[in-house]
Amino acid sequence: MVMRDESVEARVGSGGFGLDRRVAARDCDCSRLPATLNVVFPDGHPDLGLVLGKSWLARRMAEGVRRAQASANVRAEGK
Amino acid sequence: MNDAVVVAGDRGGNVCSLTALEQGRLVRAREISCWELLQAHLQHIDEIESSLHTFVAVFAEEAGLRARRLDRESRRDGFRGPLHGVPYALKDLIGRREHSQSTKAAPAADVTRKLNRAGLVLLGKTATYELGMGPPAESDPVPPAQNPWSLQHIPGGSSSGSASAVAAHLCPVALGTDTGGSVRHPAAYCGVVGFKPSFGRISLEGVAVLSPSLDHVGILARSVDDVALTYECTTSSRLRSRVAPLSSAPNPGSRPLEGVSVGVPWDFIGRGSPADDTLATFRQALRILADLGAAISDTQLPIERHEDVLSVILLSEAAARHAEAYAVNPEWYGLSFRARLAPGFLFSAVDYLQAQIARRMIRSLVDELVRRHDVLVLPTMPTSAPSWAKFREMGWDLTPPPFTSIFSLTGHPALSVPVALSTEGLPLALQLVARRGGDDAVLAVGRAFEAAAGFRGFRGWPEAQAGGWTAAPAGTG
Repeated sequence: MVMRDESVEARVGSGGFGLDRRVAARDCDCSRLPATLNVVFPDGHPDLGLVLGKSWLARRMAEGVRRAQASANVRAEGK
Repeated sequence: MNDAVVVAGDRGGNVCSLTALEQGRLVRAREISCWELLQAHLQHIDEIESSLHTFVAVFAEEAGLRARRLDRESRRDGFRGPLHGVPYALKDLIGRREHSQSTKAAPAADVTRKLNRAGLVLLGKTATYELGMGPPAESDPVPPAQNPWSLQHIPGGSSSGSASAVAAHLCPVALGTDTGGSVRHPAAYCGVVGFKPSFGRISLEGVAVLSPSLDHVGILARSVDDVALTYECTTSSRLRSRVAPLSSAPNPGSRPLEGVSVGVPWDFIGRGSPADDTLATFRQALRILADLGAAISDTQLPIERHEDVLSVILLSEAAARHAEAYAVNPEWYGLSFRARLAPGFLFSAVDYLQAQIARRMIRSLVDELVRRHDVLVLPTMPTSAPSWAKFREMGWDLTPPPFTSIFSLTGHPALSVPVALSTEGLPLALQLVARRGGDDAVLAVGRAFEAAAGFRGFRGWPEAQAGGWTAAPAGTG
């Protein structure tokens, strides 16, 4: 999935819940959705807002991993 | 509620409120038969199960046959052990042979076979969220378990049925699974003891695994001794307590923790934003440990965002595990479960491997702390159980609990022991953590603490409870 406008991420930045689905549908390019996601949602049709929110959530978690590594590194260097 | 279940040999007491060890003693003294003990629990389940939704299945007939068999066997060959004839329950992710609702299909688990061999009687399967990934949702095949302390407050999860059943005296011991805190979390909210052993100590064979590198089988009971005895049955090895043998009680006024070093990671605790009454109770617990002779000292665990590390690993592994079945039979899965799992399909291999690197770094830091201290202590949860209403306001938050998830990530043994009640009258708990493989140490310290803290478990049914769980709107979570 490609997010065309980073500001969309800010607009759905509530953790993936309570999304503005109209905005998400307009700004999200679904042509590159992972195939497995097509069966995650009812009848194989992705809920675009939910997918966009989950994508944001996944990216936020991956960023959190970097933060965790950095915090552990600071500790290691401080020993 | 009529909380008193009187059976022949019970001498007028409530046998269901006894610990597993005490129940086993009655059986071995032939003051109660296995069958009578089982019937007492079945009667109690009949009385209150409809309010608590703890069980998804109760095997009354099968358990009755087994209890009769164990009674005959004890007359002929003696008793199998201290828990001969004691009823127990399994979280509905742990196999016992037949089809089950949450797991789709469940062969007998290794741990089930071991408990059966030790003479325990399987009473039933307890409620959980779909495949153990909470919170509860409208599409779940069974309603969520309730917290016996208050139907207005959540029981925690995902081993919520096991914790609720043990707290409400529907069984003295139950098994759960713990991926980010799913044994200790409901144990803390329901005021029972919850134990997550070192990673790999209890086999996952026959368990519906969500995340193979994070899942642990854990034990819930109303005393540390019960947890320890059950744990021995599952591992086939005797625990070697460094503080006191499990068969003896600490003497009043004694200092059984003399020489035991206890570390308190205040920086880490602060980042979890504990409530005021949680902190007050935690300080009370530290005073108890000090009175028992433990040397308390501050230590540091400056880890940030470990919850994300756990989430990336958990969701990636769960997505990998279920991807094929999704593609072939998506209707097997509830809509909320699919939505919860969706981020797992969006992580890259790099994300997953980076998370594993972060995990090793965090584990090394915790290893270093438990080399310097015999145990680490921290609150099990930042607050007591939130209300169902507040839980919904929070947006069915899926972030793993901070104080439990870090030790699921690192694989260290962790024990949750209830301490006292919050200002709302709900349980608050202490978590003890030891080096990997130091399961006996954490149980021994927990046992001494439990005896001194003197927490009184759930005793009665709150009156006129209403307004508990109602289904969440579809698509949340």
